[in-house]
Amino acid sequence: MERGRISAQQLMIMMVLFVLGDTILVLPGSTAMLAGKDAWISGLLTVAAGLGLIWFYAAFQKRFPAMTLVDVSVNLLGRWLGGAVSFFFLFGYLLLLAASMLRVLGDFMTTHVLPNTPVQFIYLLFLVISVKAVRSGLETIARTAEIVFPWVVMLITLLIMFVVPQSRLYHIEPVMAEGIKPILAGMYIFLAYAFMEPVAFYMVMPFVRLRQGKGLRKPLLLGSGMGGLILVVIIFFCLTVFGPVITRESIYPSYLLAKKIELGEFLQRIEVIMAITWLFTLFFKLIISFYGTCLGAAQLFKLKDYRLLTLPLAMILMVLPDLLAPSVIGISEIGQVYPLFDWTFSVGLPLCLLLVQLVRQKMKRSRSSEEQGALPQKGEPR
Amino acid sequence: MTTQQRAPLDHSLHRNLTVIRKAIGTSGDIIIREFQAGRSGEVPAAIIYADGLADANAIQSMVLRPLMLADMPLGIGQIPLASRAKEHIVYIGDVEEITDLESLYKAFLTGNSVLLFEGDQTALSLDTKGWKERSVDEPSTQNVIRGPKEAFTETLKTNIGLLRRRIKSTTMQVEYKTVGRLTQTDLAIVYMDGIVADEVLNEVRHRLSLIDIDAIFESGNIEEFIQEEQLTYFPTVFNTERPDVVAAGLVEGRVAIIVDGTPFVLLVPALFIQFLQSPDDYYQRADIGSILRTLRLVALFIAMLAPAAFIAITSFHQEMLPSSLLISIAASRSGVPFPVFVEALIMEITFELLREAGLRMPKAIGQAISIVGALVLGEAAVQAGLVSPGMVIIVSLTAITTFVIPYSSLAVPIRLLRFSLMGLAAMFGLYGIFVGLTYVILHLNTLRSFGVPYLKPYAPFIMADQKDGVWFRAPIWKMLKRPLSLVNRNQTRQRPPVPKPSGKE
Amino acid sequence: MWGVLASFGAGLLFAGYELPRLLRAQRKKEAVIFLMFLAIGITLCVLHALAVPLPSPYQWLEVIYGPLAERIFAMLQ
Repeated sequence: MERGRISAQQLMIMMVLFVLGDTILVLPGSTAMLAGKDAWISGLLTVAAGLGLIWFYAAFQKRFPAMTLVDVSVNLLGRWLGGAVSFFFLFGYLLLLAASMLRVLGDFMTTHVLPNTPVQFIYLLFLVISVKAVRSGLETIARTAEIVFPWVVMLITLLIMFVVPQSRLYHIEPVMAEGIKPILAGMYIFLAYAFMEPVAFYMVMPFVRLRQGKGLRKPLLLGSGMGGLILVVIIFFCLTVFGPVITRESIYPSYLLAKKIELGEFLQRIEVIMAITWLFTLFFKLIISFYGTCLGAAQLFKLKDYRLLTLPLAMILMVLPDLLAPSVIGISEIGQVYPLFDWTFSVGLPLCLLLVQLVRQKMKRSRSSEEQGALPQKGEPR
Repeated sequence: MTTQQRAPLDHSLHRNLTVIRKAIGTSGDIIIREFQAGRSGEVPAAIIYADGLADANAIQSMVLRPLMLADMPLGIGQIPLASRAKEHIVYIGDVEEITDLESLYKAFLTGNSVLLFEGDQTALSLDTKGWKERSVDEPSTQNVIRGPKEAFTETLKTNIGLLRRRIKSTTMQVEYKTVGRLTQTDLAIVYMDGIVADEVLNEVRHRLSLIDIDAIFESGNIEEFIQEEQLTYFPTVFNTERPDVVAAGLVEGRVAIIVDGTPFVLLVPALFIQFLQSPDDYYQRADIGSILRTLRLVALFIAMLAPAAFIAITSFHQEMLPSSLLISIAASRSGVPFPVFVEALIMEITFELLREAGLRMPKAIGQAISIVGALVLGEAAVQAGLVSPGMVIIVSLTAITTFVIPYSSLAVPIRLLRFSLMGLAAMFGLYGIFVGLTYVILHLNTLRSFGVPYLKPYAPFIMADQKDGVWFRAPIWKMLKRPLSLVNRNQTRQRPPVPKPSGKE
Repeated sequence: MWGVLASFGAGLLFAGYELPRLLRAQRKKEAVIFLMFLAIGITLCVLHALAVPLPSPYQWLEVIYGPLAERIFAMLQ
């Protein structure tokens, strides 16, 4: 049903935007809360570990070419078990991810940008363009990402440029004074939010048009690497400009950073323009998760067109964000527990599926020595 | 088509003429001149032509005169008189033999003259077209500072000629078609064989063949039929009055559709960036061209966003303005009874009205109105406290930048978008603008023109095509290939080496 | 009040948009699934508009993963 194809380059760009998603807004604070002034080291280590994780994603997808995660589950675990697992993945994980994006957006907008606007309208507007995006298809989403990407990069670069003169290295010294444990704690959230949540791409990767000899590995690694490094840079500057205390106390330190932009008398308080950056990154993380949910649901229920469920799911998404937690504090507190949720679906699920496949291969091979260890159905996804 | 019209011609001249006279009815401008062809007047014949369409002089001297003076062979009904006349007697270049009534009617209705002979079932259609047409003049809309100032006219033949003057190659193919049951409008499909992508060409032919309507008057009618996307404000078919633009498009692999009766020629496939490119970008130096293009891009953003941004910032995000500016804007707005959005709306609508009026004004009054509109209305409105001076500036800026967009087909959607963005800004500030712009970008990305994604070469991003983009134009000696967006064969435009002044080797 | 109306209105709109096409193509099973999800959506919206307290998925996460998280944090202190 998705007849569109995207290029490797588009995949990379979408990956960068997805990785930045809500992390660009939320991570500096959360990581600093756990790792203090060494949060930037957490970041660097996470990027290293995260790349390994992404490498795993690429390898997994390679074993099941042209199959989405739903296809793989149903294939390996049968219609009922695979269906149940997919159901939880789609409506438990992906949809919740989309709702979380909306919640972050809503919280940010109502506290800093549009305080007098009821949050439902903020959700509504965002959902309108999200539904439009998902209904227009993967190619449209990819192309829009290509258009938007240079602007996001430019805005972030400007942010950094303006802020560098105000950064003071003493804020992050002495380095690693508290030892390795806080750094690992910081990695806990960072790894999950930045590198595990891209598991959503399992619903997208089958549609990438690959050229001869090239795989998914390069665009995925480049994309997530770039995204991760941008995050590290932002965390670094948050720390060096404000110091660890302010960074961990504020919910959106990168916005605080944007507030620091000034050029003489006249170019100041333009942080709202910077906010456009994360409006875009949140948007892309949202629509890719949303798209994954709709597409997966269509595969699960054998629907002819994945666009059928966009409108009902959008209605659910109007309400879900508010249900998540009573206040902004709740949202950041979930950071204690959510990463484990990420682990379950992002590492646990693929590993289990892989295990099942290996076991089945072994069983097939031992059952008849002439038969080739048959991999599950390869072919174009519906 | 009735069976009568498909009917072949009769042997008898008299019977043919009776049928024809009945079909013409009371139209006095269709002239049927019966005469005796041949030196001694042996063969009854008739010539039929339309008074306003055919060149009477040509008919008289090139057709009637030689026929009346010629040696016509005797033996009516035994010798093919029409072909003999065609081969030996008539002094006309483009001659066709016709054998049925339908073609006969079409012939004299398009300005040809028709020769009928007694005893011959074949008639001759002679190209004696000669009506008064507008001379080749400056383009009315797409002017350049440097570059040719010729524009197409309303006559198909002339327009093809203007193209041939620029592309002197046999690979430029011209295919004729007729559309419109009553108007029988002539069309020409022009393309470069060997460069054009076959899929596009076949698609053009296919879509044109599907047109079945009474009347086609303008290329705009055709455009509506062949465009892919019906539900969008944005043009997916490019039109221009300029032969140099069409010729350049042809050489890039596009297909041109020339419609008789209008100077506006269509070019497909059409991409968004084309509507922001002006021919003089190419005729001036590359660096100047690039700067002008960037300027145009900035103008596009201002035209779309200026009022909306003003509304958003003054209503929601006042902190973004430097305090002195904020104070002066607040002061200037203090007497205005309306909220910013209404004020902006009033000004913009007033301006649109002035613009439309200015288009249709007789030339004499036009100047007066523009002065009245600009100075008096603006001043008066400010004095009366209806609008603030800041708003007048914004609206004027908007107006000027809209005219920077070279093609009105794009200016129209931009104007419409401006209003929607204003509304969103009034309700949701910059967030509303964000949502609006994102929606537009999403929408643009769903558009295709004859299969080519509308925002190529930005999405999908093609590095090689960036050389001729919206904000940049590489020097001509760097443009080695045709746009990858369009063409699938014969990509090389020119071969290196790059020309260098001879002293520097 | 308005929220409830808006929810029903939206639900009707969405149904009116998707259902005719589905029914015309005889895709009854899909229509049923669509309506199921739409019903869930409308219900949630209406309940939320009426300020009825609804369960929170994050709370479920706390319940499921809470103990494990605590142990991990204990290790990392």
